[in-house]
This record gives sequence, structure tokens and C-alpha cells, in this order.
Amino acid sequence: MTDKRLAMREEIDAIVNRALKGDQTGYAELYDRFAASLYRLCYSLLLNEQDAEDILQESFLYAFKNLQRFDSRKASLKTWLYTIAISRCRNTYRRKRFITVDITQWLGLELKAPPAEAPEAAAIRRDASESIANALQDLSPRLREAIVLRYGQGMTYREISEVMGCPQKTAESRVRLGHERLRQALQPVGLGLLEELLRVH
Amino acid sequence: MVRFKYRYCKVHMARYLSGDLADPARRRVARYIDENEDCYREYMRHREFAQKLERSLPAFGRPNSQRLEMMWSTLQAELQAPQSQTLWFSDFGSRSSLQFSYGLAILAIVIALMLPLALGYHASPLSIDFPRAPHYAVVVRPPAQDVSGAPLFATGKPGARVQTPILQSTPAPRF
Repeated sequence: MTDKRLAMREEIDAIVNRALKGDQTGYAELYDRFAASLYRLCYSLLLNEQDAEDILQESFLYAFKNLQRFDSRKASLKTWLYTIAISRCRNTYRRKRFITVDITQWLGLELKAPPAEAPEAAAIRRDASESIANALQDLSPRLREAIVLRYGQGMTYREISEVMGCPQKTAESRVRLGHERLRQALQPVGLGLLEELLRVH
Repeated sequence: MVRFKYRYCKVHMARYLSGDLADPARRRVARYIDENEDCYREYMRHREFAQKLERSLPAFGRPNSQRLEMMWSTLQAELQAPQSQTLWFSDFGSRSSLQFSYGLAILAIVIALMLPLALGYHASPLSIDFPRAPHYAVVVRPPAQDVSGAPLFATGKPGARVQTPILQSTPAPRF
């Protein structure tokens, strides 16, 4: 483990200890640190804003109520939180089976174009986001999880295997397969659209 | 051999690019990329796409800060709510709702199966009319008495009489 990671882990452990002693600012700090990335994870997996919000809240609620169960020697807090969120996302897949994406809803809220933007540019961006969402949706849930954790969250294969609850080799092959499928899916529309997504934010 | 090199590169390319490959395998992939044109093309293709994904996917689904603050307020309210109430809502509305549904379904099935028994065996449309075995009643006669009026028991002594119960076959009651 690198020094930077080690230092960060120690820092988070200190915040957790503060929270466990009843310091409310400890909870707030943990939320501030992880909420955005956890939301992105949930949203990328479920492709639905409302579901992502629900899972985020449930995950934090569970984590905060069971914070004494967290063992920093076994895993980092990030991995623990992601494991909680992923398991809830899986429950949602099972409940829904067919995930429906309200493109207009999330385009309107998440990919809002700046006011000065030309209509053509907004249309291109909309197409880009739609294509990426469709490509992600076409992946099986396990491959989507692997891709989102690897490229969306920048996790190592070891962390991915911990979060997904599978051997490291399996995580690697899922990333490879997901990568291949996503590339095939995006090839016809052009890989340049990934760049379009970057301009939105 | 060329196909083998290409396949090897394809399998290990993701880990090669992320730096997760062990030294011998990494050197081998690097050599194949240098030697083989297909491997090089695969490398370029993979690298370009991986870089794009690494840059663009973190931007996908990013929430705005107002939204996160709203969620924090809700979360705080739930955390401060009484334990029993919070558990009930969180469990019901989220992860265990599926288990709850299954549990309810199983309970309904059990009740449906038990209902005929509760209402009475004979009213049950599912009951099977098995042939009844004849009932036996055990009749025990009072111990025999000798001339003096004392009861006779089986004592193992010569002359003592043993009284055995008599089994009588009686017809089964008719309902």
C-alpha cells in the first residue's frame, strides 16, 4: 500500500472513531467524502436517478448504524461502503429485472446544457449520453459493475474483487469482457462521444 | 504462433495497461506488442478506449451538491428517528421487502393448506378417505377370586391362575 493511501486510510479511521464516540461531525464528514462517488456508482449501475438516491440513503443509513461492525484491518471504508451499496443495487436489479431508463429525466437533470449552448451542441451531447447509457444497459449487471468500478471509480482489481465478492481473476476477466462489449457497442456511434460527455460537466 | 501471441495480448491487455500485470507477463506482452503488428493494433485500440473510459465515466451520473445536501438532511432525520420506527421503514422499504414478500407468500400457502384442517377434517375437499382399520377394545376383567374371596394373582406358584386381558374385536364407529 502506498504512503498516500495509508495516510488516507488512517485519516478515515480517525473520522470513524470520532463518529463512533458520538461526534456528529464525524458522520457528516464521512458523508461528504463518499456520497458523491457512491451516488455515481449507484447511478451508473441502476441508470435511474430515484433508485440511485434511495440506495445511497439506505447504504449510508445501514453503514452509520452499523459503524461499530466496520473493521479497518479487513477492508477500507470505501470498499465496505461500496459492498453495501452494490448488494442493495443487486436487490434492485432482482426486483426490477428490466431496468427502465427515463432518458429525458436524467438528461434534463444530470446533463443539463449551459444556457448559452447552441441547440446542435445540446443535441450532440444528448445523443452521446443516450448512447453511453444504452451501451451500459446492454451489459449484464456483473460486467457493468466491473466496468463502473474499474473505469468509473478507478478501483484496483483487488478492490473490485472485494466489492463484487469474487476472485481477483474473475474480476479481471469481467473487466476485460465488459471493456470489449462496451467498445463493440460504442464502435458504430463513434468513440468520440465519450469526449462529449466530458464537456457536459 | 502469431495467433497465440495475439490471444495472449488480448487476454492480458487490460491488466498490462493498468499496471497490474506481474513482471514476466508484462515483459512478454511488451515484447509481443513490439514484434507483432496485430498485438500493437490491439494495444492502441485498447489504450485509446480505456483512456476515454477512465476520463469520461467518472463524469457519468455526477450529482449536484444541492441534491446531496437534500439527501443528507433526509438521512440525518432518519438517523435521529427512534430506533424501532427507523428499522421498520428502512427494512420494509428496501432490502428486505423482497424477503418480506416471499415470507408473506409462504405464509399464505401454509394458511391455505392448514385451513381445511382447522375447519375440520371431513369438510376438507383435499382430505383422502383412507380405509379404516377395525378398532380393538381391551377388556380387563376383575381379578378372579378364590373360595375365600381373596383375589388370585399370577405369582409363579403352582396352582396360581394367570388372568390375561381379553381382546375383543368391535366394529368401528360410524359417523
